[in-house]
Amino acid sequence: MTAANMLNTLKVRGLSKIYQTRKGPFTAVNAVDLDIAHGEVLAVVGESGCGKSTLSRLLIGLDRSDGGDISFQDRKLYQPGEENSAHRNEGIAIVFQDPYSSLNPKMKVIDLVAEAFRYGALAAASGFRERKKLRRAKVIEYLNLVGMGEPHLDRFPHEFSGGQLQRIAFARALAQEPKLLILDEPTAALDVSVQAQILMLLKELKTRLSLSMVFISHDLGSVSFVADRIMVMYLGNRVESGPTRAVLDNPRHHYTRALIDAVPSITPGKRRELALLMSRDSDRPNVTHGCPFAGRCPSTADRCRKEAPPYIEEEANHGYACFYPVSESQS
Amino acid sequence: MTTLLSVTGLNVSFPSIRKTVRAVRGVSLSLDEGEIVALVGESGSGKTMTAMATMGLLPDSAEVTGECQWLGRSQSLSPRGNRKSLAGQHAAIIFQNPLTALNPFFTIEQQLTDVALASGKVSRKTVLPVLLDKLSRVQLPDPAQVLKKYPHQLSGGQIQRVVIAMALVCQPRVLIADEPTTALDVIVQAEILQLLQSLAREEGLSVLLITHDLGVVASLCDRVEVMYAGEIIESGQMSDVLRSPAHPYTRKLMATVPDIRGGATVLEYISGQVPDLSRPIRGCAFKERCDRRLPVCDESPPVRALNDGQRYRCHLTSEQEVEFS
Repeated sequence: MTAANMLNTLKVRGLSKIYQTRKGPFTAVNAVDLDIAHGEVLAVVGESGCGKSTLSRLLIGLDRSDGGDISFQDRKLYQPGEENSAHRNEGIAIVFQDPYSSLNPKMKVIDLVAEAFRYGALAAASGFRERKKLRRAKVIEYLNLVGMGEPHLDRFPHEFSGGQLQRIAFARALAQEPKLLILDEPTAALDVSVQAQILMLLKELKTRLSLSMVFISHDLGSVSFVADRIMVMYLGNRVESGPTRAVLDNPRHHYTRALIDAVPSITPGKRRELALLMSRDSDRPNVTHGCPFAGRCPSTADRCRKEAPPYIEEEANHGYACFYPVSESQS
Repeated sequence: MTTLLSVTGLNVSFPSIRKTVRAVRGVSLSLDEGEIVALVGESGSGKTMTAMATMGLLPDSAEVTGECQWLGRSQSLSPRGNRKSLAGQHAAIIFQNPLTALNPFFTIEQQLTDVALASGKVSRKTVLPVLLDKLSRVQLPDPAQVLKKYPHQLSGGQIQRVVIAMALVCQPRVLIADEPTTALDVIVQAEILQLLQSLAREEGLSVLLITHDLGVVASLCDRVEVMYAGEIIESGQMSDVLRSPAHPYTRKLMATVPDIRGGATVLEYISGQVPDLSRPIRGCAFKERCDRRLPVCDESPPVRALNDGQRYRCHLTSEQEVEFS
């Protein structure tokens, strides 16, 4: 591996996805650029419908993009003509939001995890019995990684709690020996006490296996705990991105600011009046010109409705797309 | 302050042939006018069962004992044959997922009208202005348009507002909100919480808020009751409980919440699982997961009171607690 691709595991340029609906085209992801370095955790945050799940589906190849490139370890992914190739998303694995629905209830844990083995993973063993033994040993190895073990092998999903199921889903993803793990709200369906366990597991996996991760979430608390960098999306657009602390401590885009303000703090007495945004209509606005956030922004000017603000990168890779950013004193 | 609702010694169990699940054990709580009380705990701690039992919504198979008073009048808690209860007159309940609370085949107007007429407080002739009034009270823009729509035409936040309006149509004094914001994202959550707060402040509506999110509790509630394995293990004024939690479980629960300001490199978590409520629990229910476990924990812990009305169910005295931390 050369130094260049050590730095960037995933490189996405101008990625777009347009869904054709009865009301006309709807842009779910609009020309998004992102880079993930080796061993780095990028959090993608935003409200429901901002395109974060679509982005994850594009990265894993569950949906085809309508423009832009995804390069992963110097290889362009999902090129025309390789739709059915077994290797199309090699090295990328995904963990879904709800472990209750992402694991087949009729399969035992050993089969759930072993199903994810790559072709050739058991090639070291010859003969049926040897292969079976190796398969079992390898599943135990992956279960150990997520803090589970042999006693769980022959059980069915209904015998586990939500947190344990999510661990099994992680083991299943790790069994693909990924370099990049996509996590689509992995703790949203879990209790707070269990959420903390999963977040700790994520941190541990990150250091032990130096995995790169895309962590999709709308919980800024978890994000600040696990992520190295944050990308904030709004209606399919990247509105701000940068190192976690820079974005959370010094947000420049008004949407990021609003997201941070909306997080309830567990410290009592910090009841603040929220500078609330105007609610979004149920009809998702399909903004064709101007800033996508102009309709809800507290400091919209005429210019915002006419032209889309460019994405400006400031110091330390902290960038935003806004003409009139939040100044440091405000944040 | 009038006490609108008081529940004492509530027990809920579900007997079946092989075992009996004791979902709620000896819960007492009260709700004053205009007060927002949080019922906090993880899944399976009996929060929802407490609310459902109070509302008389449990199935006939449930065994419910305990006393319940609505504005000083007693109400039987037995689930059999009290469908026209005081609970229905004085309280309304909203559920976790607003998308499943409404019927997708009917317009908002049809559904709200049904509820309004069934409450017996509104006549068919006056129903429309009432609906418009309630919808504007939950800050929905253009209520007349909203009435004509079907649930799928509204966003999650709008639907939750409609569901709150539907609860208000019955002119309740008490609103029980069962995880009203769990299915919504942060900005919408903040809006809904602010709405609940203004309903409590301006109209004297009491809210029993069921949640597992301590952030929600801190930003909204006056008092908090922490539940674990069917019991209330700590209660008190919100600021007291969250500033100086006395029960080890409450402490742990607070430590599991990652702070947006960062700084933490390790998150505490509660290992193990909630005890099986179909087996008898000897002593403290939390002892298996507690890191302050003492030999005495096999005996049932006493309820200790701190001077400012904070109460907790634990063998540790507050002085011992201080030594630990």
